[in-house]
Amino acid sequence: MKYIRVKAKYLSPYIRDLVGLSEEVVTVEEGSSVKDVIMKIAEIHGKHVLAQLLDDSERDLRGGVVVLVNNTTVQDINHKIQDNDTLVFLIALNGG
Amino acid sequence: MEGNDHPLNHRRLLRLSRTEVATKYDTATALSTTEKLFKADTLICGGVTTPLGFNAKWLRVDLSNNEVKVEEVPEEVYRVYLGGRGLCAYTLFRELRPGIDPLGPENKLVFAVSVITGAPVAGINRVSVAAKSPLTGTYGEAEAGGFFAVEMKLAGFDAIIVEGASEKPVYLWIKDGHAELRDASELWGKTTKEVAEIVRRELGEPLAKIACIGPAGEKLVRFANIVFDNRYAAGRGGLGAVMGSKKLKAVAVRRTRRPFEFYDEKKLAEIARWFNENWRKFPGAVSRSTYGTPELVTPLNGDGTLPTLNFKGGSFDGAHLIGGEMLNRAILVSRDGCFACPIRCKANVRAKPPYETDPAYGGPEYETIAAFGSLCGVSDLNAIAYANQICNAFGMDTISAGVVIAFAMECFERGIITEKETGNVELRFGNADSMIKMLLKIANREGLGGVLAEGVKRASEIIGKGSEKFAMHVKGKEIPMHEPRGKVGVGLMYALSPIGADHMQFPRDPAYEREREDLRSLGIIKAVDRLSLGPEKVRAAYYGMLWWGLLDCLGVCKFTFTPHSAGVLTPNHLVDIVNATTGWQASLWELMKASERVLNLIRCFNIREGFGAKDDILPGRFFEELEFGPRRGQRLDREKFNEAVELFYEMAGWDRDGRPKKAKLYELGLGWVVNEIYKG
Repeated sequence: MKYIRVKAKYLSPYIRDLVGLSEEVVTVEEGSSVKDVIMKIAEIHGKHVLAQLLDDSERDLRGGVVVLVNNTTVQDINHKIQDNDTLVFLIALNGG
Repeated sequence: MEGNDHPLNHRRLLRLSRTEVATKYDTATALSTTEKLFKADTLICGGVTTPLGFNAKWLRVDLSNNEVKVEEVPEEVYRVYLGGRGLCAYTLFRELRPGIDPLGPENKLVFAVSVITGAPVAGINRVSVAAKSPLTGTYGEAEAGGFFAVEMKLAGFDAIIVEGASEKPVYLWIKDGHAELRDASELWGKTTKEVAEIVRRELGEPLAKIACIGPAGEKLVRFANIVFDNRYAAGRGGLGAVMGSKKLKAVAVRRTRRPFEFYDEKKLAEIARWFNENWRKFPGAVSRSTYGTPELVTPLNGDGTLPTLNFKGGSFDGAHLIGGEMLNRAILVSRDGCFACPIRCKANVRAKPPYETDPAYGGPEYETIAAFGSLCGVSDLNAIAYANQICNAFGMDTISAGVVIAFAMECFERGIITEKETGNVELRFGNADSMIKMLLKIANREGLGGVLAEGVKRASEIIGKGSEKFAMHVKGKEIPMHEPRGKVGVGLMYALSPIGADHMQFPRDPAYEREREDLRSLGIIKAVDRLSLGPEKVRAAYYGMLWWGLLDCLGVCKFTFTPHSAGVLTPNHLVDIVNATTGWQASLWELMKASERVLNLIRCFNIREGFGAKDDILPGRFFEELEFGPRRGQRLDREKFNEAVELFYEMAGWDRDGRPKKAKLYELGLGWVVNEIYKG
């Protein structure tokens, strides 16, 4: 089994609260998706993270949550990630 | 009773008399005929309560002659214009002669609520205030949340039209359908909190809701605002100066009667219950509830789109010292909110000496933090909170105030103005004390403050020496705290907003970056890149403008509805709320068309005042590279931007000068406007 390492950055205060830090390196299996990374983060920091980031069906992000992979907004949480990718988790920046 | 079975629909469709309604639908045989007729009356056209969802009554206040009178308004006006922004635009277009002085007695000031105001669902609580703007010369409008709108509607009026000007200071007192003008000589010169306290005490009405101006409105500061109950503001465009020019110090409203009986209260209760049970499943809403709008400071800083040092750059070293997390940790006393909303996104703060603040004035929102913080290079959250309090107490728009001070700071650092002009204030970026001193000078129109009180456009014209280049405004209104070089649709919004640079005209670019079901219901199927200025962005911007315009017509908070990141309710919920409130069978199409009608009416107001494509422009700085931050080097492409504006006109049915085409006006039922803007 091969593993890859990605950087997870938590840009919004609310998401920083959920995980308890502002960024970390997450190790997942090669061929993993954005959803797999979220599952891993929930495994590390608790299931409440999963409930806030994924909707009830666990097929999509909850409304308002955005994930960028290497600065590009992810449309599908099954998007495959690569070694050394940077994932940014945030609440969409559209309102003050 | 549901749908077509409701007496209202039958009466409308079948033209039944009240007796027929009483006998046909009131099956309670124990009731006497008189009782049945009374019940029919309350169902049909309102008695103590009205099932229509609105009063169908407006209050006209003639300050020149010290008169108030009640006007009855046909339902058709509400069906066509809905309320809020719609009623304001309808009134001002019909009643204002083009070319009038915004600070003269010919200007009119309108407060308006909507057909759904007071529905017990989160977010339906905003009042629109409008007049010809003394800051821009265009149609001017601002909305405020809180509790005033619902109280005003329950006090008996859907709109208040203030005209003329009083010789001496007065305030307007409205209670349960009655209105009177009262002497306000003792209130003149007082801050907003003092005014609210004195008026409540004088009236013996501790629960009255108060809209008032502070000393800045009296001194005609061109970005003076109207403050509601110390902390909510109809902030932008100088409406407080209009109120000051009329010597109207305050409007107090109070109702004692019970709330409206809406058409389908069961449905409204069902929506409210769903909201209350589910909003915690929406991280954006929970985040907003936890941090309020200041949650945006640090993420925007990380994104490189936090306006900094008068829009020279997009990130600020001190962002972490002024963001939502720091606010909660350092100065938050409690959270506060608006009518029927469990989110409670507002903050009450107590800043620390030497900038100690009174929590009664609330706390700074994101716009205020960025305007007095990163834009002025100030990283002292206490000073920012104090600046917020000065603005709320003296009645000034925090965005315009922050921008005009940042402008003056840049002028000072470039040597365009010196300590001679500033009155020995060393007005450098990052100097919190100087910022506060200059803010007070503006509020009191002292020295350079008197120049800056004219707004950044006029101030730069007075100062000259090339300072115009650093005056960040559109149509004279100062740019809000969103950076178009990282969210290019924001640039379109600033340029095309009918009320000058404004950040609440349509959802910002990140709202369109993910494909979402609620966007699909607005006709936006595919995701749109935030840096695109192509047709798909223009289309999203246009539809977004109609959607957010609709929310202003209905007096609805944009945070509670998708596609805002904090949004919980959807466009289809809004249709349900309108129909459950009024008994109409409106569709989203009909409501969006009403919003389009109002947008075009406002556009025509501005065309009539001489505005056009030549004014739909941005400050040159946005076409230059961001000087620092993660997006350093990014700029707007002028050619693409101009093409996007032209495409927007075409999509909207406007000609190359941005004037609505005759066919568009006829299509929207605005044929009566055609002769006003197609003369000769």
